[in-house]
Amino acid sequence: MYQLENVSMDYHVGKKNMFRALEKINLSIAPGERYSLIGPSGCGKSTLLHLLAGLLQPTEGQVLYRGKNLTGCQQDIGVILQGYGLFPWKTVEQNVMLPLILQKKSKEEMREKTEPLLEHLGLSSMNKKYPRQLSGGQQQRVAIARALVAEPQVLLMDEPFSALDALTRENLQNLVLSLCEERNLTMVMVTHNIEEAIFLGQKIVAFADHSGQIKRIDENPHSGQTAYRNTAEFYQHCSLLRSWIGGGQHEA
Amino acid sequence: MKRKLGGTILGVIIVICFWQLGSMLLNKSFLPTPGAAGKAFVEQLISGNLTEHFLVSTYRVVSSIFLAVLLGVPLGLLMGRSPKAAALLDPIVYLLYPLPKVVFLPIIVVLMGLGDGPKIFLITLAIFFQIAVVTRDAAKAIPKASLQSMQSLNASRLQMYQHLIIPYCLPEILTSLRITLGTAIAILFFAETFASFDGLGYFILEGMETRNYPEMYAGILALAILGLLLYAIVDLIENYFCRWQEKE
Repeated sequence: MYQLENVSMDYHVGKKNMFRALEKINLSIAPGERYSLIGPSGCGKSTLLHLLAGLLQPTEGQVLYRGKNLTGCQQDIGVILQGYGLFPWKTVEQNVMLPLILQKKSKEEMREKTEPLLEHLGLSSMNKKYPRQLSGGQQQRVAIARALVAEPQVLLMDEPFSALDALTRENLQNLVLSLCEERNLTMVMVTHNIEEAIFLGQKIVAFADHSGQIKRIDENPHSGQTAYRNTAEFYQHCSLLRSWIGGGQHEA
Repeated sequence: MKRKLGGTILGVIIVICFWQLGSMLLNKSFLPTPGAAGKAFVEQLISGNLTEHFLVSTYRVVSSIFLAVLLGVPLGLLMGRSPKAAALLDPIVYLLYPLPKVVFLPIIVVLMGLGDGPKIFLITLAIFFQIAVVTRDAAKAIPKASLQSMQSLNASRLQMYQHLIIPYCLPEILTSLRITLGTAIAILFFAETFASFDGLGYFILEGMETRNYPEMYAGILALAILGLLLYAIVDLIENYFCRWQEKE
């Protein structure tokens, strides 16, 4: 699905200084795989997600999507950015329909795609409400619905559940997991949460420090198994991952 | 809405009470009682004289606001979203914005004559910059995450304006409109007292010059009503287009 070849990314700091956020990243993501990107703040994981979304262009190297150089955003890549990215002046229904409105789909098609999705995500009863009238968990459901309404092949999420309480977070993790399986989605998620990274990511990309390099890619065959969350192996895995990304400074 | 109407009525009653008190204490012809002014107001309204001046003033101020929004909002959006446009236009705006526009009235009258044109032009000029600057600042403040959100949905430039930039800036634009209404009415009054033969400014000045003070206050009352109506219209627009802000 994705092939990243020697991807580096620089940011301008002031007029003269440059900051290297990513350094020669090589990564291959197969269709249907689920990736978690984890690491300390400022390690470059969000930059990598933005490159995968086509929101940024690498300074060096190339990001290939379906074998072609990714030069901008694509309709078949659904993105959920930090803070949900909902528009407060649009109702739940209007927010969810937005990708289809922008694609100038017919009203009938919009209804056909939106209504079942709202139903599936438990949002039907609140489709006329505005985002500020919803809880954080409900807002995140709307963001998920909007990212999926145009039936993308890829779902990219930047710290999607960070502002939610533990129970809502677990419910939404299960929801995302079932949606990924139903739709055979390729998923890449940035998270600070070690447990979340292990529960959702079939592969966990760990960034260690501010070198902009991947420290390790961890194979995680037990991802998505709810029972795995309560095993000693799971906690050992968390502990191991914590040591890779720099020790006790992150929430577990 | 009911509470707002109740507040307005209470405010009017308080103003009338202070006016009555002031009039009784001063006991001078230049401050008639609210009753005398009200009587003159009704008489002038029935005769159609005041109505005619009221309509002329309304036409002038509404046209000016409409023109100022039509020109100021797109310019503000352009300055807020395009660094190149901002680099070119910011210095021009900063140079012209602080100038008191009323100083141009004699020149405008010489160039454009005595009709509605110069008055509309002057009011537009006075409020246009305020609307443009507020719109520019609002457009600049759009969160990067919102812009990226639209970008990730493959929105065209026009769709960006339609679904994000304009709705985001609208509450600020309406606030600027509310603030500039006072300026617009003040400039309207000034313009109508200078080489003019109609409008509420002329009506008030004529009342003052002929020492027909009740009539003068009837004109002031009409000007206050005009302001109140315009504020109410802006509130109605806001209640409709920015209803997402109110619902809890």
